[in-house]
Amino acid sequence: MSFLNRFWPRTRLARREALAFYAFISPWLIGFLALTLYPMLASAYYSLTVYNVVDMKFVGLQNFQELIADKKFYWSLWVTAKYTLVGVPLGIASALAVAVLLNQKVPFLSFWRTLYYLPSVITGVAVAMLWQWVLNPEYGLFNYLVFDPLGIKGPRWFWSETWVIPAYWIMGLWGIGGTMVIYLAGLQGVPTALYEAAEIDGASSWQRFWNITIPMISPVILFTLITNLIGALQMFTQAYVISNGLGGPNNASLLYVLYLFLNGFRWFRFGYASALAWVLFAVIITLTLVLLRVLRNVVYYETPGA
Amino acid sequence: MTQRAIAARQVKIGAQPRLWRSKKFLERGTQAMSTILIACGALVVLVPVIWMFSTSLKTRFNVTSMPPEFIPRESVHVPINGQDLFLYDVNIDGKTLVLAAVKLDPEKSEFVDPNDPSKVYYAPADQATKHQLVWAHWENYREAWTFASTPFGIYMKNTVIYALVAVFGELLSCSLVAYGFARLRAPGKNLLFALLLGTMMLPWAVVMIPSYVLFTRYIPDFLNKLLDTKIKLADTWWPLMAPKFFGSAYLIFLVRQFYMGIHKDYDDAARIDGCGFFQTWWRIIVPMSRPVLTAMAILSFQWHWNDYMGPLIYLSSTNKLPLSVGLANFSEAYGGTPWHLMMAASLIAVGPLILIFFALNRYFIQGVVVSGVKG
Repeated sequence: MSFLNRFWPRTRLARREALAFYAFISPWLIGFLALTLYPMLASAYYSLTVYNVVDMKFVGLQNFQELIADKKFYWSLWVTAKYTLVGVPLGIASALAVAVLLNQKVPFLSFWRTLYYLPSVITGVAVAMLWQWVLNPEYGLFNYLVFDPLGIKGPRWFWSETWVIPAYWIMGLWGIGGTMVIYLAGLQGVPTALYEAAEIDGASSWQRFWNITIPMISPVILFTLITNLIGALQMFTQAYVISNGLGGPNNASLLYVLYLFLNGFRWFRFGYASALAWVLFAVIITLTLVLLRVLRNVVYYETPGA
Repeated sequence: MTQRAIAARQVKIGAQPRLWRSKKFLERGTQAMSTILIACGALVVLVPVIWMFSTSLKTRFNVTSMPPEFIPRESVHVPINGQDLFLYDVNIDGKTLVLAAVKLDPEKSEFVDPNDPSKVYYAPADQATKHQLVWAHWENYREAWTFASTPFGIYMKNTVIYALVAVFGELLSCSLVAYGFARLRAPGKNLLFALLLGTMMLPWAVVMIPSYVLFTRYIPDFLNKLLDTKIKLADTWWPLMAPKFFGSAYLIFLVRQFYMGIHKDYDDAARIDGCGFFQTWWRIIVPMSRPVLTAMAILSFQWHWNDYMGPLIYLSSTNKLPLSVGLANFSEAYGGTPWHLMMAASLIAVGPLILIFFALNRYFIQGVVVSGVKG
């Protein structure tokens, strides 16, 4: 009982405050229990069953055994890796480049910032429509502007097994505005005194970039790296819309979550889809922890222990 | 020139660094270069949107014309003597006239003046090019909007209601919950906050299927047994709207960060004046947090306006769909790929969002910044 006593507020005022706390957070707490914790536990259980909306049968680890032998599972992992491992670093590097340029006391800053952010507003289906048209192999603007002047016949993008993932990279690049805005705010928080001191010491602008800018905003870079990575691993809407929910051509854009969705809501294999979901969760947690651990020593924090 | 004059000159040169090495020049140069690069980048960002708009104003035929043109133009034909004749720009004796072609012939084509068909001109065919008029087909928007299989009016209404309900629910729940986490002390708070942050990492794929089962089977079954009714939640907006009143981890975190920045003296003053916790929140904290609440409302509005997966899972009747799903269904419903109409429909779908963005873009960016940097 003494263990419990440690947690029980001593004074009446403290007890009232604790009660108020739980009253205030009750919407989230109820939501967490009913719409997050329960579904998590249920999903963990479903992953051990064969469940098709109507009948549920406990089968132990059979889903995971099937998964180990499932070629499409590995394939969708590979497609997702291709999309993520190039798309995320490319997006972060370009967003940083634009932010650094915008931070050079450029005139009309807010105007440019608005323009670069605009594509991030129209996410979702409209973006899928737009890029299907821009990257159209015959009549698209992209091939006309980029490949025709070189005298090369442009790729077939979303209609080509080789080029469909690069097409998604390009599409992703278009939406870097959100990340860019975050970097810009981070850059504006770097004290100018640091740059002035470095300049007096004779540091070139390249040295100042690598030795001041990058370390000072490294926490922001780490944050965006993790959130963009988690987002990219769960990329769904555009791939679903563009490939008509099939992940074509010939499964070349069968991203992991798309495969999971097909299992769940097209073939109604709720058990198998849940197993896939837990594998994804494990991948996300592992990647996040590894990144945090590996980059912890590289990232610079102003206040120790923050 | 004396020794002294030469020395003085050298001193003068030494004192003034060369123009191209002066600090001011370098700074201006970098600034100009950056501005040029930024402008080029902005053009790249903008061109697809302009292209989308331009395509939405073309005819089905003109959409696929090569080379692509940004300004929608097309050749025109006029009725002359009961015949539809195309207009040409014809070079006759060094002057360019707009004439209607009666007969095209490599040697001797026959043209007439469209205003006075009795005036006949002859010229070789290579002296004539089709006359093109700038012609914006605004009616494409009407055609997309009124296409019977995809009632965009209804989609728009559904989307607006969904986004507004979601904004209202999340504003209410998130600002309440955030106040608890930012201000009140209670046992177990740190653990709960860690849980809140942890849920941000949880993929929606994990909770998607059990939530679907919960909302389409368990909850209606329970309610029906309890109330002896025949409620169905599949193909209704309930499973999509109801969860919004239970807060979203990301937005709670966002608002909490802002509340943390409000000085605690305000709370204490309110407490001394006799405000309870609830009143302190409603009368003191909420009015002071207008910027973050606006930013939050906008983020929430934007997400739900664009939400695709949720409606895709729960809704099936045509008249219940939001714009996102309706737009995705459009080309299949229409048959083929009518790019001009698809672009018009896409612009209809995102138009309101873009207008709101330009009106309130300060808050859009603020929301992203607050959530990104302070995280």
